[in-house]
Amino acid sequence: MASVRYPIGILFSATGSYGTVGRTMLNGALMACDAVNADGSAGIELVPTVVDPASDLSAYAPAVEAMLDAGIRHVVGCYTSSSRKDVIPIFEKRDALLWYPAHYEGFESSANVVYTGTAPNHHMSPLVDYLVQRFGKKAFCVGSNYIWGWESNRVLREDITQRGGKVLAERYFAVGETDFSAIIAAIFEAEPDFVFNALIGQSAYAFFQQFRRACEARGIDQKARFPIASCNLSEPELAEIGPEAIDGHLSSSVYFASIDTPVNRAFVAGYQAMFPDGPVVSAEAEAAYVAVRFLAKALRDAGGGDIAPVKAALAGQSLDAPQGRVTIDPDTMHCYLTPRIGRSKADGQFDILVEAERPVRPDPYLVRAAAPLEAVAQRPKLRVV
Amino acid sequence: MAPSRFVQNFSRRHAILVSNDERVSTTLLPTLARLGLSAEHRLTGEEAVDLSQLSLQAEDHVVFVDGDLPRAPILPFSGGPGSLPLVPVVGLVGVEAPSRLRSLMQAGATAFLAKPVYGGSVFSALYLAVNEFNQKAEMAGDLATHETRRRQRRFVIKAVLQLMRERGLEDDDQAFAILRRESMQARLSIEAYCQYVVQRSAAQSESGADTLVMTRSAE
Repeated sequence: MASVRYPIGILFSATGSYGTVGRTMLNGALMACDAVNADGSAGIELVPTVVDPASDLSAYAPAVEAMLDAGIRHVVGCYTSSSRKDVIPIFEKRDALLWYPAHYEGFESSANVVYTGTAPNHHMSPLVDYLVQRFGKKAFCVGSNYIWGWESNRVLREDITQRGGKVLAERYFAVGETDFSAIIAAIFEAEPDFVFNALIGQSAYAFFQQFRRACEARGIDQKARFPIASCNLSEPELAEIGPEAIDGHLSSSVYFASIDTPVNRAFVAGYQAMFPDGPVVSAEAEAAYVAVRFLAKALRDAGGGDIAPVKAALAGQSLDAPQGRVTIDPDTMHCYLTPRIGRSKADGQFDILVEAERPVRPDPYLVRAAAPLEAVAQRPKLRVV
Repeated sequence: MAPSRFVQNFSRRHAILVSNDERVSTTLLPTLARLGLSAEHRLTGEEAVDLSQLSLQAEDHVVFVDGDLPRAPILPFSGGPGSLPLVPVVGLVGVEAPSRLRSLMQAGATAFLAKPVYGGSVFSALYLAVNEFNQKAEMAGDLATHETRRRQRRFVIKAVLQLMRERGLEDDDQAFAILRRESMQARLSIEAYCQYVVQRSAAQSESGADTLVMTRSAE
């Protein structure tokens, strides 16, 4: 049987400040394309067009326009939320579909996006549970100055305030900023129970290195006294942090390369064989891989590339992903995923400390967990009557 | 008075959609479901939709009113001047004419949502409608309190004079300081406390006994 060819777009920043993660996502997507194309029974062939916006926000929209002009209807892409927000209007206007494979801050469900990464209830709620139980209720938040950092810190603050905890400070830095000496002094001053990190790319790597060095200079065991918890820390980023500061960091994710199942072992082996020069496999690579597998499945079932039938075919679909069973929630077009918390080791992998018993329903608007009101201001307002 | 807190999760609310536009219900109802709201759809026929007899609660309901209806729905309003609807209202704007916009404002809309409804703007409209409604309600409550205190001003003058007379005080500042301290101890506004003082002494001079019960103003 001759296979039907579908052109698809792959849009990841393989270079620039968050290029390491972008490259793993690109690799994950290409790996899935190969797997689909090698499977003769699927009856479809994916023809990827790869574009690298080089971590430059303004390069995303023109790239998407060019892809859609060339007849592409499906684009797997974007890592940062700012790039996603930039291109969504184009997908909506021209009725194409964006397959978005990254963890993000929620509060979105565009009809023209399929989200295969985590919603905040997947990565944030389990992390706060863990941190409050093990370390305490005083958080110090640092983040990159854009929607991911802002919203991640807001969700953390709401959650921890409800449990009687406190956010001691919240600081933001431009994407790409690498001097953290002032903020590290502020952390020592504030004495939090843990540091919550929502920095991305080079900024995050620099922060991990500088904070570990500053703790060592003061004779403090950073891993035990000021653990750093992140919702966006994966294996290739540990390699970027470097051997001096690689271990003891907490990461909340739905995928770690160390998951010990036959499906994941085969996935990791396949990835390493295909990309021996790295970067190593990551949660984002797995999400990109899952996105392309779902795309192929939906294209085959729909019998064409039009958006409405593809979405109809996709609703409720499941597949056995490297992380376990992944199912598309038809209401939100987000995925049921399995939350896990890992701690980094010197060999660049994560020890999985806790893991959900079964895949968790996505809740992008946090309507099932969060309180109706925002968190109370920490200082009561008094007035004279 | 508690500090104002913004509502950001609408999942325990029930939405009533008053519209005859099929396109609105096909996009709005699934979006509301995604945000965790339950919803019902009311069509306007020969009669206007009448919601005034329902027991609607500001914390539990929200009403979406289409500006293009042949007959505007009847919504429950609080009594009195500057009255507010009892529940937050989102106006659905199709024909963008001043008369339609005014009728939506008169229905109590605190946010507009343009038709055809785009899913990505529903959360913002709900957020604005509910929080703006709450702020207006809070402001109306504050105004009513101030109005009461304005009416009680004359009791402050009377109480100051009375205290100066009773205790032989030199000046009104001293008398006011005493009343202010006592009002704070009683956890009343100075105006309410002075009213109590004046009425107590009037009652005492009539019956010779302390018969008036001190009531806290509802704040």
